[in-house]
Amino acid sequence: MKKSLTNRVAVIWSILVSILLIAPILIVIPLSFAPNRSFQFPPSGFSLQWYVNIFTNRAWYSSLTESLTIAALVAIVSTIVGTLAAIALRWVPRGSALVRGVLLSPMVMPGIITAVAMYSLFLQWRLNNTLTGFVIGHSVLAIPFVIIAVEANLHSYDRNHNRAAATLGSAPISTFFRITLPQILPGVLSGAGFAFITSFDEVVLAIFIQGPNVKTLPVQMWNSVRQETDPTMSAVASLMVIIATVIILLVSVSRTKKLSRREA
Amino acid sequence: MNVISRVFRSKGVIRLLSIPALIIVVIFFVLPCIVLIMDSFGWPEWTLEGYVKDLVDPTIATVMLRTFGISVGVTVVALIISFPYAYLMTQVTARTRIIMIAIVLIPFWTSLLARTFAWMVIFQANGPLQNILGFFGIQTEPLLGTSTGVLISMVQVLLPFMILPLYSSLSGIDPNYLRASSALGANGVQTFFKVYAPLALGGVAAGTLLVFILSLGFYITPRIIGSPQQAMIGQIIAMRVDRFLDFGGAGVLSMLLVIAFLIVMALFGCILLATRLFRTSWK
Repeated sequence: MKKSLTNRVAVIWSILVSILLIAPILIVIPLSFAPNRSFQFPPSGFSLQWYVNIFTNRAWYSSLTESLTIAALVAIVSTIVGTLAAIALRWVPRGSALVRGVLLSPMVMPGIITAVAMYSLFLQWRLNNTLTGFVIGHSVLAIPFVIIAVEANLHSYDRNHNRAAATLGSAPISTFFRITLPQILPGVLSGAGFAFITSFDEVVLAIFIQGPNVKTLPVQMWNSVRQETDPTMSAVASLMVIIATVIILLVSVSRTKKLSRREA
Repeated sequence: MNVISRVFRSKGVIRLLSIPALIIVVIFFVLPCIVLIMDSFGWPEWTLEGYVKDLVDPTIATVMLRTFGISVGVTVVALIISFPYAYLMTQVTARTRIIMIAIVLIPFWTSLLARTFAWMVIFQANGPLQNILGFFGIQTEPLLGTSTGVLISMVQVLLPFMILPLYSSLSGIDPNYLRASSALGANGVQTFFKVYAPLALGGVAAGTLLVFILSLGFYITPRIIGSPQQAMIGQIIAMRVDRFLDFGGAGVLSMLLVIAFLIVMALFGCILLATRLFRTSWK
């Protein structure tokens, strides 16, 4: 890197930006060890009771398991239908502009409008406060991400492989599972990951369609922020920060290693 | 077998693969949106009453202006903050770049509620921000419940959506252009505005648009950090449904938001087009 004045300014600026990006989310970690029911910073002591509370308090624990169940179902549903749709859009592109527009539209609509619109019909269809309602609603939001992820992989897929397989007598379905799927698997898996996170992290729709039977973790977090001072929120937030950080760091380390291998 | 295979391989059948996704999205997204629009016109009777009522309501006008004001503010501040960071990402070694990307991705992948909660703690009375400022002898009101607080937290939450598209556009700029520009006698400022900035325009447009759209419809952050007295439009839409089950009223505001957004986008497009035309005619 050139040591020009511009670059020096950019370095200092970027360090400040890094602090702005990272420091605020780290603040929840000390908070999660609070000895008493408060969001006081810094906390006046140390305790692990709020971490224990995630697993012993019924409201927190059941919302966690419900969120995981819903997110897993959403990942399965939206990955299957999204992958099929991506194949259709990619392999028969002629006249598919409208279909693509419709399928990707949930991504550009402001979340609050989507939530209100779905809530209205879910009321009539009795889908509020049900697992089915959550899975359907979150799948709608997740399908665009799956399509985008899979299409990116299909982009570099050579359809001559299909023709070769067919010439050699392979039926289309087995061609899909034995030839196509293994090659587009990275896209399918990252689509599934996106779908899982989209559902697991979704708040706006969830706070509308939730009810006594089904409450996801974000709903429980929302309630605890809005209504009461419950440091279990800090513990959950800290776990989320730590999990995200660990995953990103693992990916970064593996990419750095790949880099060193290339240099060697 | 042969016939079945041929049928499966035909374009028509492949096209059918998008049907399951279409069914889900049309029934559970497009249809609800259409019903919401119909509700906004007072369906089953057709009336513009809801629109007229909200358009002449000064409170709604204030909320709309505030929503657009905060969104423009968030977008501009995020762009100014992000540009040097994205630029530096194109200048550093591959190893440093991985670290810089990780710094952007960690908040990006952390739950929105967790991040908003962190800002709530920072801005609260006797919170870290007040303590730090107090240490330097600056006495301030807590930012919790203010539009300034909403703006700051929204900028931090949306920053990755600006940095990532900016970086992908800036990394495509050939450094030889900049070298050529200075070799031909342009100074740094001229090179930036006449060579670098125009080439970066695509990424700037993508990031700006993304952050602006997301800001307009933001609900969670303004609801937790802001106050009902300084509400953004998302809060009013939610309140109408939450408290009064007034889907017609919520539909009216949703339509107004989308229409206002389209108008802004059209203007934005005109400005972009005009600058392009201006630049070409200037050459």
